[in-house]
Amino acid sequence: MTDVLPEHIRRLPDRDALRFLTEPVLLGSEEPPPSAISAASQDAGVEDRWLARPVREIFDTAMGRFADNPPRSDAWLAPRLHATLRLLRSEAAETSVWNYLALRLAPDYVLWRWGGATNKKASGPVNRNRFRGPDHTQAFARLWWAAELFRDGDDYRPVETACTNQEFFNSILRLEIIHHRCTAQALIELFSQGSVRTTREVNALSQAVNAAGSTLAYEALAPDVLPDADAYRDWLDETGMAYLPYGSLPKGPDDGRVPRPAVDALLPLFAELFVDAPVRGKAMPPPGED
Amino acid sequence: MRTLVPYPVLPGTVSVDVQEARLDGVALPRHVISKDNGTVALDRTDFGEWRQATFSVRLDAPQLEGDGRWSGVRCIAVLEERRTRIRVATPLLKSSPGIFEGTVALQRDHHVGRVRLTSQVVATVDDVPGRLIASARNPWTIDLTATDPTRKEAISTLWVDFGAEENPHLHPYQGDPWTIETTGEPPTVFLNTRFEGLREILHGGEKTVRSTLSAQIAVEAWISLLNTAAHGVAVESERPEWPGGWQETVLRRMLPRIFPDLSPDDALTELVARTRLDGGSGDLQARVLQAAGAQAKRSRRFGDFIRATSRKEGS
Repeated sequence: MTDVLPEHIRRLPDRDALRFLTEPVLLGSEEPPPSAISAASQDAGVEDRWLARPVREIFDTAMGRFADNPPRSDAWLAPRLHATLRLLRSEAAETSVWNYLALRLAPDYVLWRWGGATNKKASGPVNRNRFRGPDHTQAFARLWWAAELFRDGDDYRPVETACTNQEFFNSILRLEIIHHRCTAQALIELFSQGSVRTTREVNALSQAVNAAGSTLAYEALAPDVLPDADAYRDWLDETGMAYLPYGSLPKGPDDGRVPRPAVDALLPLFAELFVDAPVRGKAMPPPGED
Repeated sequence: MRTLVPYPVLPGTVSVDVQEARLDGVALPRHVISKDNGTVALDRTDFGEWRQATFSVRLDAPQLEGDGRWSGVRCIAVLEERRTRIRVATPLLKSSPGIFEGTVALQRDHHVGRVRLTSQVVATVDDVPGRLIASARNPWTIDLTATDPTRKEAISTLWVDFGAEENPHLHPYQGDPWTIETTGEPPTVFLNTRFEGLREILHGGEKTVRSTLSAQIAVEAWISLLNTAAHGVAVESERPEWPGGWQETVLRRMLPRIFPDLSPDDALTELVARTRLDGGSGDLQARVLQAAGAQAKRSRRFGDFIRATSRKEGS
């Protein structure tokens, strides 16, 4: 980036983001115009948690560390973005923050992660949705929300595990069943145990669990506890004091772990659903054999 | 509509009610709750900052009484908002025969707009625990941005100067009387203060002219909304998914008019197929135009709404 880094992360409304998403920007042949974007943006906040530099640094680091394999950076970035850009869910739900990150703070990251160099396809334009799009697709929102939905209280390990398989982004992150924390943890656990491994298997598992969720109330089978909203607020306020480790996982908000018995109640059920699930490319047993 | 499932479900309907709403423990006046609309309006600037809202929720399922088929019956209230990816279940406990009650908490930090509150009855059926045997027929909306629970508008309307420096996104439309922005949340109809005579007509000009003009704006708005919503539908495993938010509201409202012979799910599939696949859209645009016209006529309040909004605005 040749221009000066802004001091704080700000908000760029959708309509302006769309205005700047021209073909040359999507192709990477032109940089989004920093001063016009700044003029169109609004302040988000002046607390430490809105500082731009720490967020920019983790993306610089990721692009260095994973230069030969950008998709692998997801598992490293998701928890670190979440622990650096500390947001309330109500703030993260506003697409304007993610637009600003994509068009002003780190458009080079979007091109690096989603551009022609890493896509096996010829170097066409980056999909617009990676700059401005749904929370499970936009380059930054998907990382932040994956961390928020897959963490177990202050423990980011499940996030790291889930983000090593792209299917957790491609299919699972868009499903509403994972808004129930215990369901999300049970899915991740089946993956980390090795019961489901490949992208296709993860996809089959998630489809089966999602489909069964229309007749089974997972919330009733595996009651969760309410996260502690005050503890989360405290964590936001501590942003300036936090140290972000690069070699080990940071500590997330201490707003309560997912109850273990609830996850244990779902594991055998999900394992059973997976056994019956059709996996693309896997041979089906011949009829008559059960 | 009832979904067919391979096990017995509760006959008849069950209903959910919000009896009382509190902000940080302080009971709110009755008028923030509309039973008819199933809405609680929580935008109360006079209250100032609040952290938690609580609702006394009651589920009526009289048909559970004396029906021996069910064991392990449990009732839950479910609070959900797609945009903040919140889904919270709260148990409702039996207070008297056929009645289940509980207190549902909503954290301010976890929500931005319209929160859905519904209720489900769960039981062990054929040895399978956790089977959903009923969902309330009348889900409620907790609206954090509404001051009046009886209002239903999903579009906001604003008078602005399209040529003003602070509105660069409207500069291309400077010469137009109005434009519609569907990228926002909620979508917005912009009316151009720079367009001579427009304000006078919509404010109180001759009645026929006024209603014709506002109906025309409304038709165009509905067409834009429908097209935007149709293009935003994601297709998973060949089945289109309901998009949630205002997009879903618009689709659910208009699809029965566009494809009156199809179920809502099939109508959505048909719409997506016609907008995206090769082979042309057939008579789709004619159907959309017709539905938008009917919709605009039915919500004639749209014109009143524009005038009401412009009265509030002080510039």
